[in-house]
Amino acid sequence: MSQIQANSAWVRNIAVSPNRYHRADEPGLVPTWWRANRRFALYMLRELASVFLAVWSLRLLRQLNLLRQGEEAYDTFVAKQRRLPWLLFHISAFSFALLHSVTFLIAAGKGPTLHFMGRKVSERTITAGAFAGWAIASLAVLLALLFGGRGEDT
Amino acid sequence: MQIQRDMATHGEKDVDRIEPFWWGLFAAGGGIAAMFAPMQILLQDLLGNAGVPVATSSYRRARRLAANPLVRMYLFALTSLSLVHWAHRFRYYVMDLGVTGARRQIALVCYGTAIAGSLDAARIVLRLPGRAR
Repeated sequence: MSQIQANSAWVRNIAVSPNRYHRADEPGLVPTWWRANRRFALYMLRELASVFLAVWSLRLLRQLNLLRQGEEAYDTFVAKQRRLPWLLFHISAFSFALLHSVTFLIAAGKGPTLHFMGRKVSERTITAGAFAGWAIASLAVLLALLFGGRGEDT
Repeated sequence: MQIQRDMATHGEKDVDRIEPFWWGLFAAGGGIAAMFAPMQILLQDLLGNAGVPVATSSYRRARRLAANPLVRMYLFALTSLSLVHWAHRFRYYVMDLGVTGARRQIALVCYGTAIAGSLDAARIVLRLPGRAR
């Protein structure tokens, strides 16, 4: 396949209007189609994860914004996070974030075709690399949050 | 030749030039959230609130940590790209739930919210205080 052909295929696959391929456009598709089997239900749960991640991001921005307003405002916000409704939200957000990570990183191996030293990199290798990256990123967050920000007073 | 054939097959007007832009940001947001969000939620919001001494539970430590330019870039990327990721997924999630009308309006609300949220994230991160004295 020439480069031009590869490029046009890329455009065709990525840039086609969603009006043409989205499931919801299938004629006669009922709104409860995703309850037909567990794979569809898992797909819908995975998509829902983005809602929890977005709300969690907005909550994180609120917490960061309070750093400007002083210690008392920040500590009050942090103390509120220990209440039951917030605890339930955090447990849900964590569960959905895990589901998002696992499904997204598995999908990472299915998407691109990579070549290394003239040989095609297998789907398993790409997925393993993605999970290794997840482990390294998680370790960085762990170290930053456990040991970061320490000073003479802490 | 192939491109001309593709255009003849699909019609030039069918090639959505904006979609790859949003899809790229969507993938970046999905990737960064997949890599970093679970551990941050676990430590900051679950273990931290359970008494584990993480940096975000203490104002002084959180402030010192957030003074680091790398941490600021990370926080901006994580929050803004997560919002864009949400916008792109939620736009189609609504269709999956059977809402097939008002697509342009739904897309405007989703991407508009993500853009506004990203601008707010930039404002907040840029105005974070420096190290406490």
